[in-house]
Amino acid sequence: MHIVQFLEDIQSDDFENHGGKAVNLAKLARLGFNVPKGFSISSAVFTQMVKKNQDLTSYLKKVDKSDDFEEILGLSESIQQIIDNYRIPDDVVSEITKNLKHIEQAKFGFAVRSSATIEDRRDVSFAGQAESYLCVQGEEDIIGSVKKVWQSAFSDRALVYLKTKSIPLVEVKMAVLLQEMIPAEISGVMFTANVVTSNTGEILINSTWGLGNTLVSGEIIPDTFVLTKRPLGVIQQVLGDKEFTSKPEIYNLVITDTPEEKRSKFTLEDQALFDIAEVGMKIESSMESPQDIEWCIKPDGKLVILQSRPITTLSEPSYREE
Amino acid sequence: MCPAASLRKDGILKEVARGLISLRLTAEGELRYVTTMKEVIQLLKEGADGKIVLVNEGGTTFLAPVLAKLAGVVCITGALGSHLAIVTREFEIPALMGTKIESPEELDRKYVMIKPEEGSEGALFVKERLDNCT
Repeated sequence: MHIVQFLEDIQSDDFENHGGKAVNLAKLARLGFNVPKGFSISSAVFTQMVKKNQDLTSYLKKVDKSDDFEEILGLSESIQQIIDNYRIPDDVVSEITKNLKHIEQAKFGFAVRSSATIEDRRDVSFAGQAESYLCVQGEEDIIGSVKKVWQSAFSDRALVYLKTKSIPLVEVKMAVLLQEMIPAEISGVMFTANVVTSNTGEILINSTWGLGNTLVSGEIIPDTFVLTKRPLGVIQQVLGDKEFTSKPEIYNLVITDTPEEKRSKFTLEDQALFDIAEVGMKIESSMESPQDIEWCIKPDGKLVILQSRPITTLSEPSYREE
Repeated sequence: MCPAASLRKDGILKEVARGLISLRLTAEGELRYVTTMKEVIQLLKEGADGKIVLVNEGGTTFLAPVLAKLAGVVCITGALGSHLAIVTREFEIPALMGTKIESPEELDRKYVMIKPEEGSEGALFVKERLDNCT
């Protein structure tokens, strides 16, 4: 078993080793979609850390047994401390640093992203529970960010989410994706079905200037577009405030106020929306179900796919439907 | 009569904000403005059933302990692609996103209604006594 595996080498049955995000991105890369170069650090490294550490295992068991959320919050703090103190084995560090050198043009550093085995499933999204770190440079910071991603699997909010979903903590295995950082001009989220109405004939797109972290974290109000698939057409567009813009610089991530002329302007015109929607429909067809896709547009205008996961919520709501 | 208001049995509903709605569902109940996980746990202890929670940001995924009990969520920023909108849909409750509410504290403990409007839009109404409306 490889500790580290490049995206193009990860197979569809590698879910337990590399998690939903990496497996889905690997499939898209093999199919020819434009995906940032990178590799995954196997969840086996995370599992090894858990198994090696009896205190950590004991705390996780306590969380599984507890129904007291206040107690769980306290346990989360202890778990965070144990992972923070953990020293990643030298052979793992060496394997990571060796492979980093194979990724060229990581001018803006790396995105260090969670890819948990319970993430991006058909029934559980785990959306926003684990952390990603952007524009990470240098071996020390990259290794530190890998540990932070592991910690986020057991953050207070993740623990209570997992409890609420009745997922035992022993099932949580966290792989970590390291990908080249893309200096996006525009970023967004696309649902290849209208998640508000469950209409699979429509596409819903949110977009903003710069990187998409301010969008998915909900710090800003992005532009919203609703499109029909056949024929392609825009049926609704709502201008968002796009208060802040997140941009990568050489050594860090910078968030600035969006200039007024960009706040009052839509991020995407019709043709760009149609191009994104066409790619979305191809991904939906390849993944065999409606998808929730994170994407960005590079300075050269090329569309890059950052994540694709099944939409978990398309069944008809069971009550009070308007 | 208040603008955009409709008569209710024991008061009127006044529109206080608009936004994008994550599911086309109507929800009504007592609103609680929460900003920390501790406040969420406190709400869980008090009883979150049927309540509507107002939060600052759409990445606020600390609501997990109460989401199954809530009637709805209102969020000051964010949109339909925000993590909060995705997670609330998993629990089949509507989230009204990007409402730009300026004084959230003033809505705390008020009786409110989230209502779908045209397309993906929705509105938030607060119930006011008739003598408060000029």
